[in-house]
Amino acid sequence: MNILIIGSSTGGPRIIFDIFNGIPVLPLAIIIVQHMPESTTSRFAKRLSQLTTMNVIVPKGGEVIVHGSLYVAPGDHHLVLKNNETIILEKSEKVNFVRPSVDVTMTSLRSDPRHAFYGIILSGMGCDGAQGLAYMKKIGAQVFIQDPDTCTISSMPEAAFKATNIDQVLSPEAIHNFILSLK
Amino acid sequence: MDPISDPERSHPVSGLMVVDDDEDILFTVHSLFKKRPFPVLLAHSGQECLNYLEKGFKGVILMDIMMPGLDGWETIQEIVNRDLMHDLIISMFTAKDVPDTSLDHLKEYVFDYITKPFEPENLIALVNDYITMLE
Repeated sequence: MNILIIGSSTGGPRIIFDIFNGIPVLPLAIIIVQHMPESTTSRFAKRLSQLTTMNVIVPKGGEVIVHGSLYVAPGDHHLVLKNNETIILEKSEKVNFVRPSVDVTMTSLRSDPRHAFYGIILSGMGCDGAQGLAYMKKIGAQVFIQDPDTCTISSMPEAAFKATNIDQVLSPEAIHNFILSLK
Repeated sequence: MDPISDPERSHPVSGLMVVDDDEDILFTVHSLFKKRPFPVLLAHSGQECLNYLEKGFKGVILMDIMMPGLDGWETIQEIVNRDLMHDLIISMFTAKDVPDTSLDHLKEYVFDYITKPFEPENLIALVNDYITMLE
């Protein structure tokens, strides 16, 4: 299973829409953790589904992730992957002031040489995702940040940059092309 | 009184609200969007924004930060406290481009951050995108 986790906050949605515009069905499972209220999640997912032919899903918990699908973490829930395959939604304490937290999702992965992991941190306030990306790097993932110069708010990717050895700093267009290359 | 800023008018299901104490900004943004197929409300303060929300406004909010009375962040906190955060996309709309880390607890309610001065074409495209998302 190939798994890509994207963490995003303020200023991230417009980049996500650009990144996924025209993305075809790809042989990987994508999880987007966007900081947003619960009431916005379905609308965000609907907009994404208009841009990509991947199967966009707002999970209810219990789903087994599959290639070709893009999962949007619902607002007010942490999204945890159990055994790298089953989505568990939790209403535990906020982490880094937010729920869903990027760190929670990324650190729920377990090292497994059968899987290829990728992590990307986009625009956002604060430092959510920094620990998560560092953890992903430690278990063998390729990790990336959005070029801070292209971010509306750059503190999240900058925090991730300080936390680990980033494989590449990418513009939104380069992130789009990187995702396309995963076919 | 400009009818679009009249608090007594009937309120739309979805539209654009600009919250700013600067009349020039309100005028400029209104000019940009007046021919769009969605209503535009102009709020001169955080309190006026809350009044519109209490009356049922849904849509995109461009929120200035530095305003007399409730500032932009305090207004968002009040939106959350009053459970008015439904069918809204809030973007900060400000000359201040680096948010204070003490405001991290409100970041999940802020979809975007648009700095002034702004490029009209970019603002129109962004607002149209978010309005589309809410439809």
